[in-house]
Amino acid sequence: MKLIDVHVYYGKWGFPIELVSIEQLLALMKKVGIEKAIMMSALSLSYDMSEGNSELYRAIEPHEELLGYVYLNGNYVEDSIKEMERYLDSPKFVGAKYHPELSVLPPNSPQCEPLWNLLENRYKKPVLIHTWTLPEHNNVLPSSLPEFVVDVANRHPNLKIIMGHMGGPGWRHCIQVIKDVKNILVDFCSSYADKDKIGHATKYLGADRVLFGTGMTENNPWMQLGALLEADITEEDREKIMCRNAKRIFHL
Amino acid sequence: MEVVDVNTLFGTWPRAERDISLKTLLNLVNRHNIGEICSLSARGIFYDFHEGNDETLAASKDHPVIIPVGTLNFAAYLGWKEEVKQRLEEGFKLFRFFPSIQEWSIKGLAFGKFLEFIADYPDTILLIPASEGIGGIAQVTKSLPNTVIITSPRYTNLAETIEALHSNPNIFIDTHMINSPDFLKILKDYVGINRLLFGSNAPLSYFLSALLPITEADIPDDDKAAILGENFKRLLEEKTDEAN
Repeated sequence: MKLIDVHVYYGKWGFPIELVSIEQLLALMKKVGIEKAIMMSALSLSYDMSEGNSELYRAIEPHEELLGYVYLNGNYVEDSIKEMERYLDSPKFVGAKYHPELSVLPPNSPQCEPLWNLLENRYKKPVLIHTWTLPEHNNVLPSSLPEFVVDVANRHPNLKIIMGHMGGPGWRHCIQVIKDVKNILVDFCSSYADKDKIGHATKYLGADRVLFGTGMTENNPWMQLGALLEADITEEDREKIMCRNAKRIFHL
Repeated sequence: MEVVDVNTLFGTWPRAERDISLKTLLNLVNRHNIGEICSLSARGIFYDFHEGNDETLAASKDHPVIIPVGTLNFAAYLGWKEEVKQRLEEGFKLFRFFPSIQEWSIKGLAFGKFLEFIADYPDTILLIPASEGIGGIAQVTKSLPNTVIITSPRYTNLAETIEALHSNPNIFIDTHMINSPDFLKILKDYVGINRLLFGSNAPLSYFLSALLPITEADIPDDDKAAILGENFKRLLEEKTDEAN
């Protein structure tokens, strides 16, 4: 079985976990059947954007099966642009990652506009944006609502946006909100293995807009694979989700 | 390996379009060759616990694969004690609670009264959702002789889960939502495999999403068999022995 995983983290987490090294990750990928993983830095997400991107580059560089997202932080636009210049011309970095909740800054904030302009017009690479339908990390207001991403997508019709987690527990609402916004795709990884969510996404968005992501190493890849294997969809659609869509979107 | 699923339900799900009918659940049981399921009617969660428990009992009589799980709503409150007595007489061994859906708290006085009452029936098993707070569950059940299964803990509260399991030998957990890649190894190293039970939340959740993290984990087959069914069976046998 060939899988391309579009949602993989590298780094340490604030919960009990011992699986943190690239070697452990590669062994797990092999066991699950993941051919390629597109990764982002947990260090960038949670603390230092630049240090994390640099660490990620060093980690993935020797491994053909590992690719990267350059992490962007809308609170540091000039630095984010430098990070894009540093990494996005490299074939190892196939897209960008933005986490509104950890930046406490919605992606449709005016200050993020230069980032989306550059991705859309200069680098022509997709962005993976974390989405959730509730405030997280003790934030008072939600920053990761699907509606915020729709706003970005409508203003940047040539920018491919992947909605990470498909809105999390609010996946049904997420699918409804993005149904007609064709430059938005989804990956479905989360701890909520709600039955029907992959079938629902495939039905309303089309299988071409659904990507396989596991959330490794924060999450267990078998949980997402189990959902995909059990989903009530055609084998052709399953194959699109497993790898064909990712190959198309990331030019792999 | 025989699978016993401690976390299933059936009926109607009013809060989204979901097929959780008894027929769907039983189809899952057949497709995945599940040995036994602990289950209850969602009518008892959303509408009336007495009617729901009746439905659960009827389903378990029609389908011996179902181990009936009773439920009570401590917001509705009235008649809870008579209900428990009736269900105990009918052979119910498990009671499961849904405080957040029904808008009450396990720290409330009514649930406290229930705990005092059920302590006289130590062979019964209580299932309480992790969303009530792992520490809070450990606290309110601290002096209880009954087994408590915490349903659906996540990796984000794995640290608290480990401490809860250390603090009270009567606490067990179901595994379907823990979801970090090496949670079984962590729990094995820090707690031991014998406190882990397989639950899927089917048919609300994908069954394979709960099963594959166990069957594919880097732990010995004996450990997998323990989690998938043997631990729960041993628990039930011990409880039966205690009652006798």
